[in-house]
Amino acid sequence: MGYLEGKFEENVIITSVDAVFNWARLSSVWPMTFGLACCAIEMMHASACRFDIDRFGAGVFRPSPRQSDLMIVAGTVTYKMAKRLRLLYDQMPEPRWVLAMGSCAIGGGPYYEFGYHVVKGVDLYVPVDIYVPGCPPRPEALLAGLMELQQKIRQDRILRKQKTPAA
Amino acid sequence: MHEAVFKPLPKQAGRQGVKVHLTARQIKTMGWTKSLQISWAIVKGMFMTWRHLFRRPTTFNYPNRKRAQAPRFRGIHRLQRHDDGLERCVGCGLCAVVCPSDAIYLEARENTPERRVSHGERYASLYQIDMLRCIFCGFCEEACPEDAIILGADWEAASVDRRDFVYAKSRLLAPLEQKDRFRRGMTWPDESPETTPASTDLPEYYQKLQNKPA
Amino acid sequence: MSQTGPEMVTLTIDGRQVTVPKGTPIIDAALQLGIDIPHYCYDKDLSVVASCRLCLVEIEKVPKLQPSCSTPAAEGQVVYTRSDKVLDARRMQMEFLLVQHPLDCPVCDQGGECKLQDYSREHGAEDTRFHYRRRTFPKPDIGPFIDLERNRCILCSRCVRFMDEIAGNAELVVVNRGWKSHITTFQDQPLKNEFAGNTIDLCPVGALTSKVTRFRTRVWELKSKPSICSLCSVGCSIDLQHRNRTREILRVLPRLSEKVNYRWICDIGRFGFDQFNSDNRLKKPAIRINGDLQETSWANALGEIAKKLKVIVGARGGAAAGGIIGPRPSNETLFLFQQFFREILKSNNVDHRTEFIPGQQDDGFLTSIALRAVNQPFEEIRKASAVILLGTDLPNELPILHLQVRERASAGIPVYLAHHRPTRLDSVCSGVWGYRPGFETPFLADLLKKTAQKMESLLSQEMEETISSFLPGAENEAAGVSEQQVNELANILQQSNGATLLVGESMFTGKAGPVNVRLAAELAHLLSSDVGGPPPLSLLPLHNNSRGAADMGCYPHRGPGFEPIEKPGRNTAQMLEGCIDGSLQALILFNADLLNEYPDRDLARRALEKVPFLVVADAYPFSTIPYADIALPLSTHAEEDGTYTNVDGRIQRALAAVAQLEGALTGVQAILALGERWGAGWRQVNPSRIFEMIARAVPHYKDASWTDAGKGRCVAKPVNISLFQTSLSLAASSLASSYKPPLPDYPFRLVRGRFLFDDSGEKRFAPSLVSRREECWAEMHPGDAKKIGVHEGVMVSLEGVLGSIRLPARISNAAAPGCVTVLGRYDDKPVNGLTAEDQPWIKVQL
Repeated sequence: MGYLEGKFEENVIITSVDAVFNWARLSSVWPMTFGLACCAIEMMHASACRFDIDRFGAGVFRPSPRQSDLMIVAGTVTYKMAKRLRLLYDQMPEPRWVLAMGSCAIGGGPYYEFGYHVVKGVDLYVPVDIYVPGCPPRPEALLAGLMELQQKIRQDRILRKQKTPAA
Repeated sequence: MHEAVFKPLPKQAGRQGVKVHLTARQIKTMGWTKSLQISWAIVKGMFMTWRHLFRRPTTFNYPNRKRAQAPRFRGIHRLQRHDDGLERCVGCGLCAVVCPSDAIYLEARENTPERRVSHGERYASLYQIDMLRCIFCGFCEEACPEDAIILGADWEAASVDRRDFVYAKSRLLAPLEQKDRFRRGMTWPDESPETTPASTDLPEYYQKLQNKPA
Repeated sequence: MSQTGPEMVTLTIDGRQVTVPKGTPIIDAALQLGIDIPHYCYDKDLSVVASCRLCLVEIEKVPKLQPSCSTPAAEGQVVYTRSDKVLDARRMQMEFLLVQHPLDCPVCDQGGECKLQDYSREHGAEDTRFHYRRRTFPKPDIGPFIDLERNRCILCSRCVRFMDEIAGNAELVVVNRGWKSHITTFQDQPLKNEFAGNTIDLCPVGALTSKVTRFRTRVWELKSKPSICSLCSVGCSIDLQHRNRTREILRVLPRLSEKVNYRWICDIGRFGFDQFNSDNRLKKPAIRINGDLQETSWANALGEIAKKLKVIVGARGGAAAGGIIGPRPSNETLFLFQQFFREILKSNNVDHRTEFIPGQQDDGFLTSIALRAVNQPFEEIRKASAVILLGTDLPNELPILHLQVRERASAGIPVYLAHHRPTRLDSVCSGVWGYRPGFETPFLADLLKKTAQKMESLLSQEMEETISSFLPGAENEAAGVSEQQVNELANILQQSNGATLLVGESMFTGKAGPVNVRLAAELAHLLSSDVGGPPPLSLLPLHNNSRGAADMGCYPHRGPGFEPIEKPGRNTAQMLEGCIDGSLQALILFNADLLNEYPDRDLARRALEKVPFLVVADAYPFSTIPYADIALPLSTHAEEDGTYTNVDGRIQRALAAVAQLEGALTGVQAILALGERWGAGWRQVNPSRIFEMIARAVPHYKDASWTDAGKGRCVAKPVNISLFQTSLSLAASSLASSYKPPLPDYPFRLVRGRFLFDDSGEKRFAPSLVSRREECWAEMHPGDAKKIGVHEGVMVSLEGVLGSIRLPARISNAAAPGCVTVLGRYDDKPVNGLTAEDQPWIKVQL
């Protein structure tokens, strides 16, 4: 939206425009094809016919970060991978979201204490919008997380002025 | 010797077997028996597709319907109570030590006659599970000598805030009404009347829990 | 080798041969082969009872299984420790032991380090066949430290034997017979002994557990750091254990240290760890603004100190600033403290003697070192043929040394004790002499004279003169020791060849200290079999780094390594007087609780009120804080790396067990940070670097290294004798005031002493010790009590020239006639505020 973003007070037109934009965005959250470990298997499962993530408009797994809106960090993020992960994130166009799936991505999981090689939470590298705990989370849990994310997107303020954070 | 190792591999021979692709020329020159054979294959394939149109869809209508969990499904933890309402957990810390991702933290304190929380001498004054780190392996359940912690059937815990995921006792403890399902003929050696409070005389902690909206 | 050593026997255990001295139990011989025979009742430091029957082994040609703890190894024995018969017996024995044992491992604090758990897993049957009601006992209360759970007890009686044989008070006993037998305390009284905590370590099951640590952690959660106990000068090796996720210290265990505490520690050290967890700490630097102490940052506080000190030193010279450091901080802190004053402020006003008024003479402790005394009480006791204790109440002063003396006494070494009041050690002593409090010098002079006469050895002219000037003569009666008694002691001394002399705090501190030490050293010389060698004399300073403070040169007249200073500065007393008369403008108190420790509370209070600029640095809010202009929070002993020199001269290193409290700096960091403000090249370095500097600066620490100190292998070398004057030039008249008769209005002499379970120092910040402490009392002789009509337990008021306190009276023969004894230090009962030390006269009123 560039210049117009966050410039308007709330009124019936602006809120409606925001609602339309948000609806459009939340209905087509295209994830990136990006799986790291066992969680990715569940992610594939979620996108297959039994759980069919396409019902939520998020079934179009894009092979390029430049075409995707959502990065599902599905699996153990090693320090080596973290740099690539950040690069991919940086290549994604705004608006973009990150979903941390499974204990490893969220906080290191079983590698928290002694894992010399595992990032202790992917939110140390990229801003995470939604956490889906589980090891791995079942496909429904991923869908539940996706719905939470859609709720979050619904709250986004595009043309409206940003709320000042409560003290 | 080394030269042999680094020698380029011989060019791979072309793929052997049935040809998959038919060129336009091949189709034109195909005999009628062959074309019938192929048409039939298409019909057979489409029939399979049509048949699925009249079946119940495979897709699970998740948010509206939920799958029944397997009986030993390991979801979010639950701290159990005895039949008399006292907590089963005695704060022994075995769950914390067995936890592979160090997700459990607890502090124990001594029961007093005025404030008795569990049977035995000790209870967990603080019991926290970090669901973000937990890998739901069920070791805590296995290690627990009192059958106090079980992994329940809930699994929907996604949230946008990390802080939501440290489950304290208030979220873990079973509600008072729930009778203990996991008791298998176990009797506590010391169930004298003075150590077991009347059910009306519960510590403040439980009352608070009861008043909390579900 | 074999000619001098004991007779050796060779036996075969599980097919392997081992050679051990004759008389070694088989269980120990097996251990040499790495075979661990399970056992409960056997402990190598206790007598053998063979009651648990778990260590049964099969010996060839012996029809029945034999307990390996009570069967001595014999030549040609063939022992099987894992035959079917033995394993069967073990399984059955475990079943018997578990018949009455409750299955409460989840709530038992021993769980995880319990021998019953280990052995039943290894050797026990998987199920019990005992399906009847288990035996239960009511739970007794045996004091604030130890929790006795009789249901878990397996009656191995280790604790009973420890209390009887090692601690010396048979307070724990097994009563009743058969299945009703259980452990109880004597007459169901709470445990009093200061070593009772060791029974917790000895107990193989969870019958005796610590009440202080109770339920606060599980043993597997504890992380251990080797440290040194900071509560007395013995410097026991301990392990400070904290829970791995918090910075709370939750347990203290003794660490094996052959040369110091062996495997025992006293209850003060064991249960006093709560002081480190205390929330009652100085947490942020504070600065006085408009009469109120207000929190500030370190940078601000240090900047302010530097600014003020620069102004004061610039205007009046270094002599206008003074520093008093307590005898408790690490060597590194002490060294840097005096270095800060000498190098940066160019002032020699440094002292560590906060507990007594230093005399005009050279310090007593130093003089003793000048006499080349070895001062290694632990070593000395071990090899001496007799131990002579002068003026010390070891059980209340240095408990672990008391334990060593007790052990020597039980080994048949005669122990003689002379003190002004009865002590708990009296029962094991071969002879006990009492003198009147305050008359240490005449007593020693008399003793020395008589002993010299008996041994027909000549004293130097100077010594003769000194002795005669101190001899009370007509006041002999007042000294409280009869002629005959002194003769008796002199006789014993004459006969005891190879004896060692231990001199306690009451003799070597104060104005008469140097003289007493010289007299004692002369006595030691007489006793020494090694003519011309170092006298077998040891002084027993009380604080964990009293010796270190002396070695680091925290003296106005001596620098590091006792290097004499040309222009000596002021000592503690002079500094305080300087504060009052205005010649001292700035005072820094570092880990020194002056108001409670200094003998003249009134003087200290006036000085602190008067001094224009007062900096107090401490970990805890002691009573000096309200007087401070700037208060600095320091780390506790548990948060700091450092070395400490114990009474034995052993330089030992303590590791920081937990992270520093946010906002507090260690002593080293604080002084270095302050020094940085002068731009004299000071910068933050590790304590190990400071220790290297110490090793260079202090000649008798030359060979010490940081690494060796961590292993407890460093011992300070003897001091260079040429640094000291050898003449004894003290005028007798300066001491004479002590022997003056009491003032007419104040007929009683106030006698102060140490008490283990009191309120002094950091003890009052440990809730566990506060729960065990005993209230302050005034001890009076029955005759005196009758005269003024005081009964046991009545509140009396002790009035001195400067103040008064009210205490419950205790009527006891332990007090000398005409004396009132008050033991211990209590914050709310300031005994040091009654009179000046010179005039210890008080009156007692109902």
